[in-house]
Amino acid sequence: MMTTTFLLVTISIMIGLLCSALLTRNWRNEIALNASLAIGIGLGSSSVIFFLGLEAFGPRPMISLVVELLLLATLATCIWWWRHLQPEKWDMPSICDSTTESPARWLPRLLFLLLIFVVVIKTAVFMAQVQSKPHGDWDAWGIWNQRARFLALAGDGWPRAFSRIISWSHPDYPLLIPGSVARIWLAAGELSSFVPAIIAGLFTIGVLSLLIAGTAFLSGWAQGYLAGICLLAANGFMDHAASQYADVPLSFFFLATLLAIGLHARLEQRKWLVLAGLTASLAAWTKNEGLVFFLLVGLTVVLVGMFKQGWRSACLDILYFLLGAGPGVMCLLIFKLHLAPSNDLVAGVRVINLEGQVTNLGRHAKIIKSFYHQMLHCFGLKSLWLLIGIYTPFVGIRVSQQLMHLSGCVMVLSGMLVSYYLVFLTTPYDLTWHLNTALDRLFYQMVPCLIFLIFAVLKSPGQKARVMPTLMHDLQVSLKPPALL
Amino acid sequence: MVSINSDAFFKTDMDDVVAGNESRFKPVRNYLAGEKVIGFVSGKTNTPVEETVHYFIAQYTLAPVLVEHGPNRRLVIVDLQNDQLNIERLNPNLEIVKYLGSGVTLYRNRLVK
Repeated sequence: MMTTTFLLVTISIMIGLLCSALLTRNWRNEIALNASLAIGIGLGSSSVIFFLGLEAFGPRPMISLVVELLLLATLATCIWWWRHLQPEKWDMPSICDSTTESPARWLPRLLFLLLIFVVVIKTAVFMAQVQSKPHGDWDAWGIWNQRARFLALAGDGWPRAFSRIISWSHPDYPLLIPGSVARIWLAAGELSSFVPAIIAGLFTIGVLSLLIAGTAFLSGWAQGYLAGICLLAANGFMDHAASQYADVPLSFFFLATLLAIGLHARLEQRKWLVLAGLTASLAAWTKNEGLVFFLLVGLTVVLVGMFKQGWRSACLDILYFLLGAGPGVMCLLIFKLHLAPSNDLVAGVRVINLEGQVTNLGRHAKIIKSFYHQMLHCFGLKSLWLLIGIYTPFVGIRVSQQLMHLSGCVMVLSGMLVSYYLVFLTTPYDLTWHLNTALDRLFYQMVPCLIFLIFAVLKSPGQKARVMPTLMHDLQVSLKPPALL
Repeated sequence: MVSINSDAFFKTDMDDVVAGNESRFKPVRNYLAGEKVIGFVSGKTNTPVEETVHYFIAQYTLAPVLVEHGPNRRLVIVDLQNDQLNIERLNPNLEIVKYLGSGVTLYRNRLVK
């Protein structure tokens, strides 16, 4: 069991690593960023291949394994070929150069040691949680792992997983997590609670390392380590990760997408839009909220493209975005059109009730109060905001184009908040019950993105005297002609 | 063929509501060959929350067989963990197949072929 799990996870991560290296066209300089992206992209890609194989040939693990190995070989060949064809375009220096790195060399080292200390403690918390709840929390066994059991055990009857008889288990939810788990169970020939725990652990490592590497890519390693420490300091992160819910994997894809659209805005290289398309489509393949996110990112890409360079550029931008999104969207369309029943929130909406719900000021007040409470009090976020509030005046904000570059990310996150607000406003369920059972998780999906945005616009510690070089560097980068892939 | 060995890597903690109830419903699997959908009825002294949790865990444990809430299937699990409800008196169409221990009994509905 452990050998099979290790082997299949390694194949997935290798696919992810080669895929992100091919998209970022960076192998040596940004190994940390590529490795972090590899976890989610790899597991997501394997899940897509597993589902397409399941749909076409039934539950035959050897078929998806062969396809994965072929994909691995193709990606490796593409990288080798491309590096020989255009060596000058590979391994460009990181944008986190001496202008953003802290001049105090001891500081990143100290922060790294502090991060390691926190990681060790939080790993123990994760292990203890998994040990006490090996099947995960309510949604893990009620939705995700249950669906994985259907996919792995039902043979050719696997579409039973989407029966209306178990409509309470949300059979319309997409299959990235169940697919990742069932893929390993089928190949190992054994169903063990070890596998969902490993998948949860990998995505937890992925979110943390992506937050650190992504922030470091923009603002230096000291800042990256601080962002990582802040994420771990939020009380509920490890509890939530160990619960085996799909929200931590979803937050991985949210973060990867925002990082990619932020880098596209800053570097004006459309390869980042391909990456954004891939990760946004995998978000949609993880949870229904991811579908809203995917649409919002697509809209933002068009709007930002039109605002900056006109509609022709916006059309090209969205084409590159859709190129990356292709496999994930195809998978999602097959699932939604062929297998999934209608969504309970959409099907339950009654037009006759809508007017009353929307005009009921009490509902608005309740939702706003819950959002406010969630932002301040849940998961220890109050102490996190306090920490950032104290830290900000010491280092200051980079009032450079960084803020402009990240405006697309802010638009997407604001759009997500508005869409969640509208979902609660029009929910067919009891509002209090719905807020109590869903809001904390919805917020938690966005916490890594919020921390990333905050640390991306804050100056690195000890960097105060270097504002001008940063500004000059930003201007130089933004004045470069736009590069295609 | 995938074998089910969900406790192999973790020491089963019976305080965990899922692990505890999973072990109660696990023996039902031996009687489900060829079944696609079975029924589930809960005892009357289970609270609504307990009833829901037990039903959901029964579905989790018995997947890929679908578990429908209610007695209208050929085979029906009756979950009588906390009481001695005489289910046959309440629903005369149910006949006992096997008492499986820990308050779980498998019944057959005579009206459903």
